[in-house]
Amino acid sequence: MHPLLERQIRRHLGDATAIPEAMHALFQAIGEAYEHADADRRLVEHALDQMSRELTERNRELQRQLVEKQRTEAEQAALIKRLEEAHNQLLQSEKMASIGQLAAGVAHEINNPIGYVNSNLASLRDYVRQMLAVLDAYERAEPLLPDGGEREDVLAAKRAAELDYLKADVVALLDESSDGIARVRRIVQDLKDFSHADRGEWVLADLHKGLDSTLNVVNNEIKYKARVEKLYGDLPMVRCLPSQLNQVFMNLLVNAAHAIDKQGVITVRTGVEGDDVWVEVADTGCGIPEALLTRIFDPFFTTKPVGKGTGLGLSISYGIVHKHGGHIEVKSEPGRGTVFRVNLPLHSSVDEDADHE
Amino acid sequence: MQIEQTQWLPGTGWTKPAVLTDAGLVLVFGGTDLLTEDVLADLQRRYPRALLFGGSTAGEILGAGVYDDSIVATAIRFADTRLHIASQPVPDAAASHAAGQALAARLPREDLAHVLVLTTGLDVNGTELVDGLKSALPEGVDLTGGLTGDGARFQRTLVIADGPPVEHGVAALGLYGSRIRIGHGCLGGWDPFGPDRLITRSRGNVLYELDGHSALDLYKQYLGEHAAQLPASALLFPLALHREGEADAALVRAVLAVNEADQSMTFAGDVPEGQYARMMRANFDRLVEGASGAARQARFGMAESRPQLALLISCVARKLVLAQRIEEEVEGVRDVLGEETVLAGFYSYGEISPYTPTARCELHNQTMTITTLSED
Repeated sequence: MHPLLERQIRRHLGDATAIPEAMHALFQAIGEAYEHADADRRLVEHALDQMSRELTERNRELQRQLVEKQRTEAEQAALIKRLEEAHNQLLQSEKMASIGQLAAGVAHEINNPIGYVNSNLASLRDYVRQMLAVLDAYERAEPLLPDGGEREDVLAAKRAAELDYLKADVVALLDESSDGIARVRRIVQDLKDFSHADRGEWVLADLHKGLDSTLNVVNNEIKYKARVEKLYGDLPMVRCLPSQLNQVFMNLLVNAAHAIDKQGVITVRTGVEGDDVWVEVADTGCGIPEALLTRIFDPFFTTKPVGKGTGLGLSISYGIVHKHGGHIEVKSEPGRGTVFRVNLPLHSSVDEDADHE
Repeated sequence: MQIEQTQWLPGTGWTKPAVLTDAGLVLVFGGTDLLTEDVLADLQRRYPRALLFGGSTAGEILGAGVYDDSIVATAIRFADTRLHIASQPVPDAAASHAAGQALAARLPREDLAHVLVLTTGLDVNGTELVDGLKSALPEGVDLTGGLTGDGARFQRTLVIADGPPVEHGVAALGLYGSRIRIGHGCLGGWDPFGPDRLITRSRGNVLYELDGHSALDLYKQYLGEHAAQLPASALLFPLALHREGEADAALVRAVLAVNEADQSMTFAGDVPEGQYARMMRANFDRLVEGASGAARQARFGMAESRPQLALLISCVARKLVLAQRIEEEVEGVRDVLGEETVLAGFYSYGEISPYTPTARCELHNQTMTITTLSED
């Protein structure tokens, strides 16, 4: 008999034997109903317990999946970003490669005429020197001419031609022309150096040489805005992709010039610190607000007017320096100027083969 | 339409003499072991002109009472309605669709007003059977009925189609004429609980896996101490099936058998892969309300006619849950239909009815299904 029913009978009837025979079936039915209700309650409680356990488990699983999904999404986003950067870099290096090719072609074409102009100039200087010597001899013989007549004619011609001035100036002209030719040759050489002497080859290079040729190439952008101060330290040769580093230097120098409104100073410093070499480009320009500092390396981020900047320069520079195993630091004070510092490891651990693009 | 009811009890025999001796139909529902050829021959002698139509049960309904281990006979003399009975063996579940088609083809089509169908409740795929029947019946002819039962034993079920009881078969009774009025209703009263589970492995009405795990294991976990009473105890947690995004159009499926060897569960109807299943549990009040609701649906379908007879086919699971309170659902039906409507029926392993008077016919589980009849 169900214990509750037993208790109830004891309490209300005193004793189970007190139940009349005729009521036995009724009490049995009541007992069975109690037991059925108990079993039912246990089933519901058990099912509830199971369900709660199962739902908790599912909930955990869902949470785990959510975290996993978020992680995957973040990975995907990072991957997409890297892909975009690589794409931009590729675009830019394609562009640089064509420019380089063009520059190399032009340089080659110019080299030839410059060569013979230079050598002609040397001959010309020789001829002129000899002709001046002959002229001097003639002049020394001048007093031998009788007065009047012939002599007057010679003197009149010398005066008309300002011969003394000519003699001095023709040499100066030749010197200047030689200088000019030398400068053209240097520019052509710089163009060649800057463009693609290396073609993506890892070589031991002198960063100062790269900086100098880059400064020459961008001279036109800078010269009306700023004076360039070079404070070079002692740098060892660095294993790098020189043309790509030149691109970084160019971006930093052009940005520095753009940051300067009227007249300023661009200081290029280099040095060694620990296992790194560093190159600093500092300007006395407008500076970068702190809020933007975190975004300047983002692709397509630019503060320049539309059409003036692509917003790719710094992101590409970042990518190139990163590829060299180095990093770029920036310090800026709005109104005072900005310092970009490129740090490159002396003993690069980057896998050079993987970067032959 | 004239009706009389009598009951056969072990040791007592028939409780009333036969008066309506020219009855044309006797609906006979009883305990599996009681439905012997002798008893049926005796019944036939009492109603010599009647077609016997019925089967084994998980409980008999007589008036507002519910009985076990008895036979309830309801004799009907129709004034005008003609009857035609047909039967068809169903050797295994795979033959269900063909059996349904063959059976429907045996019924003359002219003047056919309604079909009552009873099928043995084990080894039959009710969904396929109903589809087969529907495909061969004339448009507009409704189908109601159920799967016969075997208490809570799930071992041997029988149908009677004017002959000796048959263990693997389906029987149909065609009602013909223009004066017969039919209504039907079907409601459950079970509440879904717990998560939706994807049916990941099944074949026809045999379920193997939910969410990639053994369905039988899941049932055992949820049943706890009741796992020992499988498969009957699995009826306490029927499944609500629905397609993705159609949770409102859920169909209820009850367990018929479990197979420990291949860890499968056989349901009374299809459990298609790709659909979602949710466990359901009984809600006492809603079960009783469901029965009354089914009665209201059936009565609504009759329009002006007052039902003279109501055939109640209710799921064995309801009886397992409601236990001693089982008569409350029958009383609920009687309260809606009125004292004058004769109630007969049985507790089944599956119910066949359109869900609403206008919906297509389906196999249901765990419901109270009511077919009301009257003759103008």
